[in-house]
Amino acid sequence: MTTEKSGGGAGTRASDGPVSEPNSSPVDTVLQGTLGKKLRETYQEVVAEAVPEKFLTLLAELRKKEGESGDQQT
Amino acid sequence: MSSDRADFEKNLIATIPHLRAFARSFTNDGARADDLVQETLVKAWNSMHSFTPGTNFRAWLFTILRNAYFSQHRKLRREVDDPHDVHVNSMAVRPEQYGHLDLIDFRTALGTLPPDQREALLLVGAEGFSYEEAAEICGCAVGTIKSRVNRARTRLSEVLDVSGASDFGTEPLLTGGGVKTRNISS
Repeated sequence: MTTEKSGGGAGTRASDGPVSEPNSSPVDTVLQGTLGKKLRETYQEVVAEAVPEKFLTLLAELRKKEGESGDQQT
Repeated sequence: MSSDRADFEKNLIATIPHLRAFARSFTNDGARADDLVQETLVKAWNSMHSFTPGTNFRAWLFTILRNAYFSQHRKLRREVDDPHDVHVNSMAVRPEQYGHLDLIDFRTALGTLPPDQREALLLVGAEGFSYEEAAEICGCAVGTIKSRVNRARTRLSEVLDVSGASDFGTEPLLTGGGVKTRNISS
């Protein structure tokens, strides 16, 4: 299994800069850069929050329920 | 198999912060967002074997969360018009209701986007998914995602007013409170 950092993999990268669509209205690229940065900052603030213990407890319970004696608790 | 299991759990834990952020884009109610994450974790755990190794784990989880939200959302909508629901609220905000555009902060501006546009923008612009991955998560065409992202960016820049772009508010965004505008259009 692979967990890719920030949605890596094949495909059009689009996290930076404006979308260039032939039919779209022209939007100032400097502004779009600012918006993109602000968007990522805004989102990152939530991502950076500490993970509540209840989620880890839940996973521990799920693991226990499966009765896999080989797995160690984290 | 137990090391696969351990990997799965490790990756699941590592993705929780992202799931919480994504869930918070659906609802301004932090508790409800966390319920959604909890449901996602249980579902992911139970369908562990349906994950295809080598594909994007985060995208897989986001799809589960999104499906969980929409099935819950349909139930909720039948019962009550949830005031915390971003989707319900933001639908109704129209440009003429913005008032002084320069006073609107970034988070509020995000809340004024139509839900499908906001979602596409967050997936691509904040989470860093490719258009293809975002399209798969949302179950729509790649072109649809591109157009949603594009419209979202255009609209954000209009709402926020270009002149204010360099000094947006610095208060925490996406973290609670939220757009309070009620749906007055229906």
